[in-house]
Amino acid sequence: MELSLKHLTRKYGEKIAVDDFSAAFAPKVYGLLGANGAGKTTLMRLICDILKPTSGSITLDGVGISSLDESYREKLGYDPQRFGYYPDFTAESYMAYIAALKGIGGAAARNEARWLLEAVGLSDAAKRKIKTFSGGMQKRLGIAQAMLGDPAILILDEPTAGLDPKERVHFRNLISSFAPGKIVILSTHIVSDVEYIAAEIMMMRQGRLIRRGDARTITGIIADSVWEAVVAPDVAERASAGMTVGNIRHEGGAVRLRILSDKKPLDGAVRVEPNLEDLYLHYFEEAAESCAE
Amino acid sequence: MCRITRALIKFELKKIAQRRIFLILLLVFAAFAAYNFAGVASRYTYDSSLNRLTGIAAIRYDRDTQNQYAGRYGNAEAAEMRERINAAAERARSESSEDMLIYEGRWKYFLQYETVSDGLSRQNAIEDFIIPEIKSNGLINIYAISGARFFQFADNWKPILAAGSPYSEKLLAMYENLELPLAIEYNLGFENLVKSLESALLFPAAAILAIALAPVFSDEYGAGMAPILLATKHGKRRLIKCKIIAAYLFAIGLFLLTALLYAGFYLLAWGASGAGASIQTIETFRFSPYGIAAWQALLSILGMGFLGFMSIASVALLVSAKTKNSYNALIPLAAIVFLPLIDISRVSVAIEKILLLFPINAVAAADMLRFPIFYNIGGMSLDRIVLSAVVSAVAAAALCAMAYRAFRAYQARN
Amino acid sequence: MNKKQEKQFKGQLAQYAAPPPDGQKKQRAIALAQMALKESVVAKTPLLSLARSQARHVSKPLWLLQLAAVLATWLFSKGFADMRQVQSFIFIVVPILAFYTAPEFVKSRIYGMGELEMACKNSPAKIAAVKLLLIGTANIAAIAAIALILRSRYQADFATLLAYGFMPFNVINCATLSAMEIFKIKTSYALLSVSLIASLVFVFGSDAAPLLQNAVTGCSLGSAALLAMLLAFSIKRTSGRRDILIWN
Repeated sequence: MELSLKHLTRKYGEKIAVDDFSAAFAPKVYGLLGANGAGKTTLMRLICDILKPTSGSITLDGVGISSLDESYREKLGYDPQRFGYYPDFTAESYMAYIAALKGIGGAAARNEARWLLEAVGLSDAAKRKIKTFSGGMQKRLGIAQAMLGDPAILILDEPTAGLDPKERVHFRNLISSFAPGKIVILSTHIVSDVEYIAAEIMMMRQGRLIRRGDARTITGIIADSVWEAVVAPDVAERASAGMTVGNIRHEGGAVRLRILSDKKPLDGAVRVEPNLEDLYLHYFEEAAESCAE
Repeated sequence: MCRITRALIKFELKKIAQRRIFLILLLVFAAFAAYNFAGVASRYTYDSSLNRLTGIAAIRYDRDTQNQYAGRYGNAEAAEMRERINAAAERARSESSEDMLIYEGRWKYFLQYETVSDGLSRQNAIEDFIIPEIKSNGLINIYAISGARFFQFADNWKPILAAGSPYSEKLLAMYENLELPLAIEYNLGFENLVKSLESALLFPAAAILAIALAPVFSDEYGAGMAPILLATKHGKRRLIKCKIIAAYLFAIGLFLLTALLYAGFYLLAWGASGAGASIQTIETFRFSPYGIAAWQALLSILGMGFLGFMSIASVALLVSAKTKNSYNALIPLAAIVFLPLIDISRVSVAIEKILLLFPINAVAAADMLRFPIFYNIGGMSLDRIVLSAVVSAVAAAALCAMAYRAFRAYQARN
Repeated sequence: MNKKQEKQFKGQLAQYAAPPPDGQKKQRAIALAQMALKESVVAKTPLLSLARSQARHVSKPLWLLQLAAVLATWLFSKGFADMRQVQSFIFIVVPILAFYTAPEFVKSRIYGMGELEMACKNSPAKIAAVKLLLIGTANIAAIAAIALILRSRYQADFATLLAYGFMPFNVINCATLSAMEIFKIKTSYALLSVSLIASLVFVFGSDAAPLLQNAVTGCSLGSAALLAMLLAFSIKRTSGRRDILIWN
């Protein structure tokens, strides 16, 4: 199975939300990283065929998704960034409704819904109205409905926003167990979510795909650019003003700084192993600076 | 119908009925019906021995007493009946006491003749007033007293209603072709049924329909469900069809509830007396040129009302599919549905005639029978009833198709 | 200063390249500013200023509907044969301006802004009172304008016309506020629906308007008293709410 995006562009008037995006997806977990406004949500909507591209094409095994119509959507599971629900529906009835929309009826729908609600930790709340749910519970329900029907392509737009750390771990394990043989694309700002489960990471900036690869490969780009230094507070303050600082931690009377810099930024700074967060900062701090200019 | 389709239709109906506002709408409907029906309990009459009767007993007594003289009265029979009526009226006046609250004479001598007296007056009016009036002065005076809703602004209609105008000539021909003598029968039940049904369909039923259906599509946008729905297997076709089917089922259910409730109540209270009466003998249709019986008028009102309801449902679906949330949908929908009731013939007769073809005016179908309006379409003169039926049916189908396409073509943006 | 001057001024300022701030001086400036803030007297927002800012956020449809009702009166109230038609007309036109009023007034509660407003400088009660003043003034002005137009055409008693105007207005707003407080209707759509139904009751029942001739002043005053009570209750509930929001 291959989902292929070729020169995909989506414009809103003058603004280009997705800019000549080309990629092929095979069964794997993909993490889509990007700042706000990078075009991740627009890309996901294009893949789900709920937004038409201005130009370019999306094909599944060589056939356009629009012409595949129902047979494409049959394979799709989508959890949007802003989870929609009917306040007076219970979790159970909501799942039954989505199951019907996915062509799953009767006992199969009930069993699968029950299993998924249990998997996301909502089995006790199954008969409660969704309007009484916390934000995290709603998010979990969103994930559960996306997984109904065991879709071959799972699109999750910021699925862990609003989840506490325990829930995020639970979610990661759920995706990992679900993922074999499936294309899973999840977008997030929380780099640790993709760091652990994504086999491949794609970075988007201003609608374009700027980097892709596994975590190790893409962080290799900044292998020599991440430093740590322990300095006095006033030095730390000066450094924060003039450099890209990834982390500031106060240790007794001193401050440990994690700095992104092509050359040694401070006396006593040592090179350290880069992580995804450093990479994120490397790309999106530049974007923030260029916006400010 | 497959199980999934049935399930989706059930879900859509559940979504309509689950809202708290639906409970309030039902209460309003019930209150309105109760208000209409309460009149029965307050009805009273006196029998010939001046015993007071109330409620159903009063209705039954009036009906049975007055139906003694039901029938058709040719010239000779009519003359004879008028003599009897005059004699009864004279006796009623002479034997009434000073206490006018009771007016014993009416109850003792005249009540039994009330229906036939009214019927013969209207029969006379057609021959002795309406036809000569049209020939000499046109329709303006008849129009002004006909009870048709736009009679207040007769001035702008003057050229159309003038003697010798094509319109006047057409109506003259209709009056001259009326089957006389009229069929006379006690018809107060039918009159009340027609008035109550028309007003119930206009309000609250049409309002309930608009309020219940405005969120069908718009709420999906507002609740953020549209992207989820449209990304599912059945989201772009079957779901939309099921939503439309559910909306129509709701409209049909509401219409049937209203029609059956009102027809059932008035038929139970008054019986079917008056079904065969010429509609000119019913107060509200006294100037109607249509040669039909009350039961035919009722069927026309129900048929037109149904078409009007279906087209209101389609309008609601289209507005719903085009607006981003139900709050924004309701205001334009209310305007499109109810504003055409306002008579703007003061400003423009042409625009008024167009507005008369809007769905809400099809629901107010009794008005079409009170006084006809004709439309010149490609050289053909079409009665408003016919044109309204065609426009409502076409609008219902076309707007429904547009709603389907609008929701299906939804593009998920922020 | 007009926009052109402002632009020129900004351009001139931008030409000056400011040197990077000295860290110590910056810290001192912050400390001094904090001291100054602590010592300053907290000023109450002037009523006019608050009213102006609230007026900017009243929905445009509300103002348009007031205008539409007055315009409709001007255009369509000619040629009535008798006072009964005038009375019926009022029952049709006043609901146009009334039906959006209560939903607009309780907008912040419906959209969950209550928690934010409670945490702001001006209390929810003060904001509600100012909104009431603004919207109420506009409504009263519109009804008075309608009454004036009709009076000029039909030589009817102005007070009676006002009473005819206020009766449907008060009842429609009472119905909407009651739906919110008694039936716990919380969504904007449901409130607007209630308002629409109440408006349509008057529109379709306009033929009954003449029947109220002897009682219209009493009905009007009674409904005004009821409306005042409901508004006071609503404002009190907004101010005193502890459980204003479920946290999601």
